[in-house]
Amino acid sequence: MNESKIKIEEEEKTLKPSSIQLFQSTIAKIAVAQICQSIGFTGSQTSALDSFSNIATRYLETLAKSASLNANSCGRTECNLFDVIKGIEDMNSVKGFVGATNMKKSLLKSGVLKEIRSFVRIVDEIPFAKPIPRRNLKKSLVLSRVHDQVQRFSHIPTWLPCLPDVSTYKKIQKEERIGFNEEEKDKGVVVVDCNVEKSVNVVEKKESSFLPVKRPKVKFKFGLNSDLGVNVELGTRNGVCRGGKRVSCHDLSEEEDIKSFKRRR
Amino acid sequence: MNHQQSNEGRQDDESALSDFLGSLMDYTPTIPDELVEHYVAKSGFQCPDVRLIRLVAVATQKFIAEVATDALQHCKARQTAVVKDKRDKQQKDKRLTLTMEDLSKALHEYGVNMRHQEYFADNPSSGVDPASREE
Repeated sequence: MNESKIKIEEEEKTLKPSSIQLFQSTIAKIAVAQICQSIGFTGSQTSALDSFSNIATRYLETLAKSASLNANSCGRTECNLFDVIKGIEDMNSVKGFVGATNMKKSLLKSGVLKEIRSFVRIVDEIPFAKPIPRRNLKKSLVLSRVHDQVQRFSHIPTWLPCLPDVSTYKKIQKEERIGFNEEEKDKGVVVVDCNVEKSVNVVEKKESSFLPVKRPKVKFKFGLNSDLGVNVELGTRNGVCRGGKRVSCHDLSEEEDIKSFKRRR
Repeated sequence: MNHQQSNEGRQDDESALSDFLGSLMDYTPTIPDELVEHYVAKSGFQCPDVRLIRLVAVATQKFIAEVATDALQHCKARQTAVVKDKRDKQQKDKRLTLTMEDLSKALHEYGVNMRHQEYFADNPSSGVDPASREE
């Protein structure tokens, strides 16, 4: 029994990468065949198409490798346009291209790039025959990165994983949010006088977009603070805790605190 | 004066390049983005920009197209040579087929030395006399 299980597992292991490779090579083959057809071929030997698609993928890999090497030698992890252009120039240097002799020329003026530009202009667009499903995991990863980059601080390098959600480490944000909410509420009240329907809409929208789960709790805290007096607020602005940190109110007597609390209730 | 001119030229280059890269956003290369991303990631290329991946795809497509064009020329040249030899069988082999022979000749110019086995059977009918093959 065990042996057969192990055998099956081994088979799965050997099957999996080969099926992935088969998938890749098949897609590459279809793409190459499409290009060949567009050029004027009506048919192809299977061996020729196999080796041609193999060479195409190797070309792609080599180009990417030289681009990433360029980036790495400059101390970067992400490739930029110049790395890619340099990589393409390297790949084309076997056959030669216009302006290859001028070493001081800017990469933006590269003859290779001009050739590619004219290629894109002249050659008809032939999209791939079928849409290809992406791996879900990869897609979500890419999306989160792109989304994160908008909010990123400039001093954090992009290769670091994204920061946790703001609500997990920032407290002030919540209070600000609620203040904003209250302002909106006021606006809503004003609107009631003018148009009832509109005001309803506003309230509904607000409820759907904001209205956090912990809202009543925070509101209660707020009331307590305001009852304690203005001194506390002033303290936060002038004193040590100017940086917007939380302020504890220990300098007031606890009895007063409790009294005010009871009064509130 | 010269400096100014070069500056202007550079700006023109940059704007032309950015236009081109922008046009790549609408252009769909024959090699699908997914495939390019996969192979590119395999060799350590990291870039969130779609335009650069498209640029790589277009460069590869250009390479394939060039090689294929060369192979097509070889194929046509061979066919005309054959026709000259045997005028009787003019309509016999008009189809343009990508063969290993033409491909290896075309790739040779691009620095790729490709050879296949002398007797490489593509399909069961490859060893059979072409005259007896029915299409």
